[in-house]
Amino acid sequence: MECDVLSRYMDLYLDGELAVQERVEVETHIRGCEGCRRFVTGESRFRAVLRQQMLAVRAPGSLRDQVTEKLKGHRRSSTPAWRPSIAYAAAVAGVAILGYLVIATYPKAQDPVAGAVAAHVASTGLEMSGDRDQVETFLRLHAPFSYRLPVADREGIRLVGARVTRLNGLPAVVYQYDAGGKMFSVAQYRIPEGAAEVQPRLDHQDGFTVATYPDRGLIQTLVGDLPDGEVSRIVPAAWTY
Amino acid sequence: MGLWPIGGRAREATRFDREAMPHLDAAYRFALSMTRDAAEADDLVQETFLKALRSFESFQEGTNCKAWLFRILRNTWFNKLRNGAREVDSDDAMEAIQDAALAGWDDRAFYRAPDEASILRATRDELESALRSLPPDFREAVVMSDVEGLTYKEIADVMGTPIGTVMSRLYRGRRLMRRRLAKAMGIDEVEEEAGGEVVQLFAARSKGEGGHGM
Ligand SMILES: [Zn+2]
Repeated sequence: MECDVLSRYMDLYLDGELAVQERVEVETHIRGCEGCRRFVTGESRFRAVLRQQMLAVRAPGSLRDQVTEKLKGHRRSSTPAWRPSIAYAAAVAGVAILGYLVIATYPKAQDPVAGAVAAHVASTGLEMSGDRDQVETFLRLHAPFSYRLPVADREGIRLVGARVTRLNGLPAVVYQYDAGGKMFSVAQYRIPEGAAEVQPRLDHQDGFTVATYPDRGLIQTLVGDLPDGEVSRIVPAAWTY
Repeated sequence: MGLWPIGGRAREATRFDREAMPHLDAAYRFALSMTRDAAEADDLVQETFLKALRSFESFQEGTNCKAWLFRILRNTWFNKLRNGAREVDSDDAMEAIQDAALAGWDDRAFYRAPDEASILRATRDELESALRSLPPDFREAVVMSDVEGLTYKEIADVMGTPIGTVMSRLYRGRRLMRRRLAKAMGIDEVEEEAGGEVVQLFAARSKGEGGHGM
């Protein structure tokens, strides 16, 4: 592959739209060509900046309320035969456990998902980057609780860094992983004494897939731009219910 | 799932809450990028979600709900535009302008400069106005891909165009955006020439760096 061919392939490469064969060709070229490497790295960093900045734009609270109201109104008016009933209560309870209503009704400060998404979006500020051994060395010194690496080693998934922080007032460790060029992060904290049991759940927020699941005394929230299927392969523990 | 027996209507409503509502922020961002106006974006999102709920049966489980919402949103917006007889730039005319603007442009030059002097330090305002400056079709494609992470196929479905068109809009849109961004940040040098604008980013620095090896 020549440099000018790479220029044409770069968008498809970074967009994840290349077939394996072409991908390998691009990567081989990048390894051997410093000019192209700098080009691709620069472009990919710019995209990360763009994405991170733009994802911080969110729907105003008033809009969220208006939409919720409108939808409620529509449901009432279009379903005269259907009255709020036990079924309705059950549906709401079901959603509260499985999905977004929990975000809407949970006191914001205690919602583990909201914090984890923000942490993921801001995860450029890793305290340390390095391989598994380096991360472990760092965490042995700094982790605020007895941490456990959340994702088992496997092909195509690499631990690339971590930081110790607080999410929603709780001490937490945020791990960052590279899954074949796509970054995802896992926030981990200890389940507070006397806290309600955490149910595994899968959400989608801001284009991220968010999987929350308890694991032997710790809560983990995976946030990544990954399809659900891939998330379930990475953390089968989240799908044991 | 299915922890309780749930009636059909209620289940549909639950499914909508679970599938569509998490994309409210994304829908708002997309609406903003299309309308470039907060109040219009507000209206557009409300209308979109109402329509989406009404037609939720047509949503195919397992496909990208965000893309489905974007399609409804975009169609709704264009209907409004048509009713209000607002002007929309024609694609062909815009492409001609873009090609002229991109002529002689070397996009590798962006990343030759040290970080502090590059578009990597752009603020949100600068990024937003560079996006806003793009022709609508380019802007939409760039937002859907770079910000919202849709695949080419999903973007093609939203815009109702072949994948090749998506790729070319992305290619042009991205480069034009970076160029305008650099210009706004004062990190390129623009020279007016008889034939139009010729942009030379870090002209002096990049001399002699023309070849990239291999
Ligand atoms: Zn090269």
